[in-house]
Amino acid sequence: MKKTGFLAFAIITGLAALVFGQGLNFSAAVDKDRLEIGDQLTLTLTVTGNVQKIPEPKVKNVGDFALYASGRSQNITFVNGVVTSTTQFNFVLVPKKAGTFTVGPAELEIGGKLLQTSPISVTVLPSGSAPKQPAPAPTEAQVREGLKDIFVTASVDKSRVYVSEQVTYTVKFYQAVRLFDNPEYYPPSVTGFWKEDLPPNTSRYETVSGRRYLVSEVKMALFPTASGRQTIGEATVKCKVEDLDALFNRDPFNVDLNQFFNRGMRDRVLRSQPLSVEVLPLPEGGRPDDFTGAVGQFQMRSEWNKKTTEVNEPVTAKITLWGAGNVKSIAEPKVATPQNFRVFLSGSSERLTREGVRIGGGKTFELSFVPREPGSFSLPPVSFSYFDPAKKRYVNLKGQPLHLTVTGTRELAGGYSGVTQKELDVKQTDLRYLKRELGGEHGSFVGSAGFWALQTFPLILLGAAVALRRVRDKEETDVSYFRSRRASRMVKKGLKEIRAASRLPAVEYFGRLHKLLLEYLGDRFNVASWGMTRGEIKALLDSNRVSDEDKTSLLELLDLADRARFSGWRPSLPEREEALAKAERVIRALEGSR
Amino acid sequence: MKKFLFPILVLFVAALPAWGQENDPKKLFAEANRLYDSQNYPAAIQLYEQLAERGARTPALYYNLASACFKTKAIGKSVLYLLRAQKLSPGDDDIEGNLRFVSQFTLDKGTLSAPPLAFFTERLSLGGWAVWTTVFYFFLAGLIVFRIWFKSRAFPLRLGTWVVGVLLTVFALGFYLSWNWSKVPKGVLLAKEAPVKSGPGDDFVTQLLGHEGLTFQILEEREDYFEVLLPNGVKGWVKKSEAGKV
Repeated sequence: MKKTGFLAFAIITGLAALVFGQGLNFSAAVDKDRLEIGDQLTLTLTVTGNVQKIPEPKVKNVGDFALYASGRSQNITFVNGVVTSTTQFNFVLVPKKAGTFTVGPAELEIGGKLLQTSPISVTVLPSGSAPKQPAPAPTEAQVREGLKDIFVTASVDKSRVYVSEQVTYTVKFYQAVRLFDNPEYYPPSVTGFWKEDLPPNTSRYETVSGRRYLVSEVKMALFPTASGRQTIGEATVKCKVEDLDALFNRDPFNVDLNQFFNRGMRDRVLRSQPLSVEVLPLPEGGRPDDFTGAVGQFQMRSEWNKKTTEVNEPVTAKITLWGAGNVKSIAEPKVATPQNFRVFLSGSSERLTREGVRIGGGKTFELSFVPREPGSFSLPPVSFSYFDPAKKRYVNLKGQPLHLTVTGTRELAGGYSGVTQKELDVKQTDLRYLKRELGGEHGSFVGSAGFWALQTFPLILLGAAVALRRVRDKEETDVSYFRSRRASRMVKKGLKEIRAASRLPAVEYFGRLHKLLLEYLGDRFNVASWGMTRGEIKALLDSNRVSDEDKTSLLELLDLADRARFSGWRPSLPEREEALAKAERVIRALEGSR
Repeated sequence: MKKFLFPILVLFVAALPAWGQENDPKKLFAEANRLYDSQNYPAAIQLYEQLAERGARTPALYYNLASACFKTKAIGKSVLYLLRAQKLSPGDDDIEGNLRFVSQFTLDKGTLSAPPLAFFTERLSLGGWAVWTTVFYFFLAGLIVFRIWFKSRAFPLRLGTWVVGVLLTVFALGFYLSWNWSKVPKGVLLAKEAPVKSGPGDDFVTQLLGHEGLTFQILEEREDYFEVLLPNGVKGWVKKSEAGKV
């Protein structure tokens, strides 16, 4: 049904477009012709006539104003087959300086024709020269009539306050239609006020003139800083609302993707009315000497940290103030500096609280009194005054006085504040000896490259331990691996021993060589080598792919050893050397073939 | 012309060693130390500062310069130079000793900015943390190596490994915090008395008055101001002209 209705409306609108012609009216209007620096005005350009597509008009002359476009709206009426379109273009003008300026003319080029509005004269006054009268709050009927679906109101809880007394400012945003996005809130300008945000209220429903609205509220605590009439500017809310006109009037051939995706949406900028607050000066009569500008309702507690001290050793008064009011603006209590003392503020802290819409909290000051000489002294009580706007009078609070005993020696005349001659005399000897070597830029081992390199040593050690442990584990569990690794070590050691025993009888010499070679072969190839025949040895070497040359050499060596052991052959020393060298060559070759 | 050239050359060559001596940082340092020993502290400071300007920024130079400044009662500068020395040579016991000593003379007592978990990290100097961390680290590594090598699962060894591991964690944490703290940008108040403002300008409220030698962390630098964090947790702004950056 909805879809059918939409199609019917689109067809009617399309037919209407066919009968659109000329007969255009182009006009300009401003919402005010006098304003102040810091204020802004709205320029509305209206195009009325039976035309569907209207380009953006151009404002030729804006004087000393900054110009911002703030959206367009369109309304189409279809009466007795005649279509009339009213399109409004809104601009915000912000003055840069005071004076009288001419805004416009604005120009609109449509269908080859150039339309112009009449220029408008606007007077800009210096800031504060023409205090604004608060705009009367719109009545519910006005609101219904003028703002319909969404509107914004602003209010203050008091219109007459003292300087530094809290005013609570509330902005309410009413909405009775669906929004496309979260509304954006721009707080008002609050020149002349100290501002503290208050926690936002949750949204709720309110019925106004029989219509149900969802109301969002933003509150702000304001503390006027000067007397006189102070103005709170406009709060602004920007939002996107449904725009059926734009949805139906869009150009089907328009390829602007932004427009395509935002069809049916319209930006709305809503502004609250500015408000005026009358700020009364604080009364001159009865103002205490120690009054520093605190306004509200406060209490005070003061504590001294000790009753006896030494020369140059400070005694601290901790003053805590708490209550309702702008604690941020509380200045340190005024204290008369006693003779023979220096007084300074050694610390302050503050804590801001928000109870409902009331701002309050606490502030702590630490005042240090530093005695210059020994003796007994009476320190005056710390005093603090504030103005209570509810009672319309000043209130004075007093702490406790202190009877202080100061020991030690008199301060070094003209010396460094805080160091006594006694201290210098005694402590100078504690200053360590000078360094005699200029050294490099990094004198310390900590942080140096050597330091970090040292830290890697245990890691290397750990890595090595893990690796060696694994090797050992393998040796212990894998007999073949163990024997193979042992073979290398044993054969090298054995050859060395045989070389050293070259004078031994031939039987023993070649017996040792024969034994060594057989043991090596057994360990190297993990076999029981004792009692192996020549054929078995040859088969072993064959199965382990030993080269023919090495194989032959090894067998020849074994034969030579057998000959020396059993045939009575007595080889000469060079022959022994040659046999040993041959054995070394063969073993090296077998080791290399691992 | 030639007859003048030779004597000029001879003079130039003869002057070279003297020139070299004047510019030798080690000689200048020794001369500054000699001036210090003869209690001519202002002259010693001048010479130390000359050396620093020439780029000989060593821990020893700043350490001695700090001592000379202390002797002239320039406590703020003394603290500043000791902190510079400490930055270059963290863990140097002499520097830390003098820093503690000089800090006694600052008016804002206990003003040396505190590292995180100060009650713990201040138990040892950075060098102390480094040494003990290294000792436990090596000890733990030795225990683990022993257990790996001998495949020991004996209870005393396992317990020992855990105990040393926990000790190492504690000392490594102390070292880590102290090390990080040594890298935090710090500053020292050099003026006898200077306001700590709530913002970077004279118009802002004075939060408290700091005194010479007050140390702080530097959170941000503007053209004329440092944003600082004082040891008591107060944040504020201090004029650059009244402070020195470590």
